[in-house]
Amino acid sequence: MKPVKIAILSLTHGHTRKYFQVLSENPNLEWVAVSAESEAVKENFYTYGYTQIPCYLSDEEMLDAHPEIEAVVIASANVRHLQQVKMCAQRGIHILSMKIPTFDMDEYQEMIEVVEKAGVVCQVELEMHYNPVISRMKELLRQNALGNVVGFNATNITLSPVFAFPWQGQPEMSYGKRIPLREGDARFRGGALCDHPHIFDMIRWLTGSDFDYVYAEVGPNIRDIEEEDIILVNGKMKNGISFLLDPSWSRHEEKVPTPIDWDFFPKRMEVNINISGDKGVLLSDCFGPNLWHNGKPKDRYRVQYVYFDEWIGLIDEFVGCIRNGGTPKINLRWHKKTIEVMNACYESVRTGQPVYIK
Amino acid sequence: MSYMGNALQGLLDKYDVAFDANALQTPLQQWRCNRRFAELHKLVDGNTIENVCLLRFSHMTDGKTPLSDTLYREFDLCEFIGHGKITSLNAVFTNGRTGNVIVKLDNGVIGSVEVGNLLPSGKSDLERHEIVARRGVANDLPMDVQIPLQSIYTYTEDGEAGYRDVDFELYGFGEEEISEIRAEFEFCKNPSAKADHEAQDQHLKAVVAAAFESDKDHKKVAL
Repeated sequence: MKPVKIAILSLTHGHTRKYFQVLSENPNLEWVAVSAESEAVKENFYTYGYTQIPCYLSDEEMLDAHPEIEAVVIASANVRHLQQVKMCAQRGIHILSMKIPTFDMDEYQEMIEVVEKAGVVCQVELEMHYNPVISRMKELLRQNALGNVVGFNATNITLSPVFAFPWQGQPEMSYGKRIPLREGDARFRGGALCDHPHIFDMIRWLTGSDFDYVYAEVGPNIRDIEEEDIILVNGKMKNGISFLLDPSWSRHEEKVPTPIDWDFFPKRMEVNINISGDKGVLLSDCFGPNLWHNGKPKDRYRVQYVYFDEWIGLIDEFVGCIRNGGTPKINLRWHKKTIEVMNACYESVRTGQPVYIK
Repeated sequence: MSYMGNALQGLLDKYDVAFDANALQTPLQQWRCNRRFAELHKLVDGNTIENVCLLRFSHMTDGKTPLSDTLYREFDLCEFIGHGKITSLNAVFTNGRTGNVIVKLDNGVIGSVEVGNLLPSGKSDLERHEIVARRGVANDLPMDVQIPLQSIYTYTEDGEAGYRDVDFELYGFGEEEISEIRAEFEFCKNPSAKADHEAQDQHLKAVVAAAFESDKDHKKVAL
């Protein structure tokens, strides 16, 4: 297969670093360039050692200088995505979007239209689909190992990235607007919920059903930030499955400006999915088991994750769709319902009651 | 006298405490005497972890335990460990066999209570009780572990087995039996707690009823 010439835009998303290794090592990719949001971001990029990759301070300048670029990873704050998607689609460049294309549903529809009109591939980065534990779970469900599924409880809990990636702590940059959580609450939309679409997507994927209604409740914040960091969601799917989803930033972190050595006991991230069926129960840890040590840098107990890197499978699908003309399984149209239900969660927080999904 | 009655009498005799028959007729919320929960309570009470934000509780049983019994216990633990009273909840259940409840306490703490009775017959309960606070987290399951641990595991020609012995004075009893005996013993030491236990019982029954009402009406219920 002819390698896809690829670039990364902005370099400010928390997942940016995940792409450095995969873009370097995947034989089906040729990493051409990156653009950085600022001089500071550019300087930080070069600390990772990829000094052979040209780094520009403007997306347009990079794309003008490298007309050979066929695809990009849009690794920016959520608020920038629409403009970058339009710019790339107009140039016929394929797009790997971050997990939140936008929370504005008018913008979302505009993205769908510009992408489809341009005929480019647009894959949404929901890397759990390339997790081997998820693959096993899907197989067990296909084999009817649990009987009829009746309950689905999942965590997608992490530390908060706001100290290393400040845009995630700014409601306008994360949610796209400054909308209070509810009357009398000083916090705004844009926090932990916005960072954790995976379990909202995965329940749809694994159960083959869509959301009927959701109820969401925010707790007191762990941190002094403007957005919610503790939030619980429950409700029912259209096929009657009851669910509980916990997308909180309920793990602690070192409040450092770079995402290095920021882990704090017990661990920085967890996706656990428990499924109940009428024939039994399944418990799963999608990122476990792991290794543990108490060595550098702080001589205290911490996790060394050993899981398979989901970004390998994700990029393989992206490249395959570009070269073979396919549609990624996680495309803008599939993902739209997930974004809609996340907005419904915020609406439930505002009203204090369950919200039905149209 | 029963096997457990003998054990209670042994404690009463040893510590020179008089038996009070109300101990056997009062709803004692005996899980509060389980060392795991007593210690979780203490971690909050003593500010070892400070400013609790979130409780994450889960309790799965086999089909012999009605969901209402599990909810009663876990709601009480929310209040015991969370140091507050449940003031609102939203519940979802499926087929009366599994579901979950989001609760809010009067001190602002929120909690998730996952329940189900779909484990195979005879399987030991699976539980998790985690506290997330501004300072610190605490859990009765270790990191990365999905099921309760045992003190001893044996792998023999007769198969695999696990043992969790947690009380030297009541050696040989199961964890739930120990909680019950300890709760009765504590009651005998302090019979004046009867009214508090009964009031809590009435309150918890109302919270459980509210959970089923919430599920039926698809509405958050304020208590």
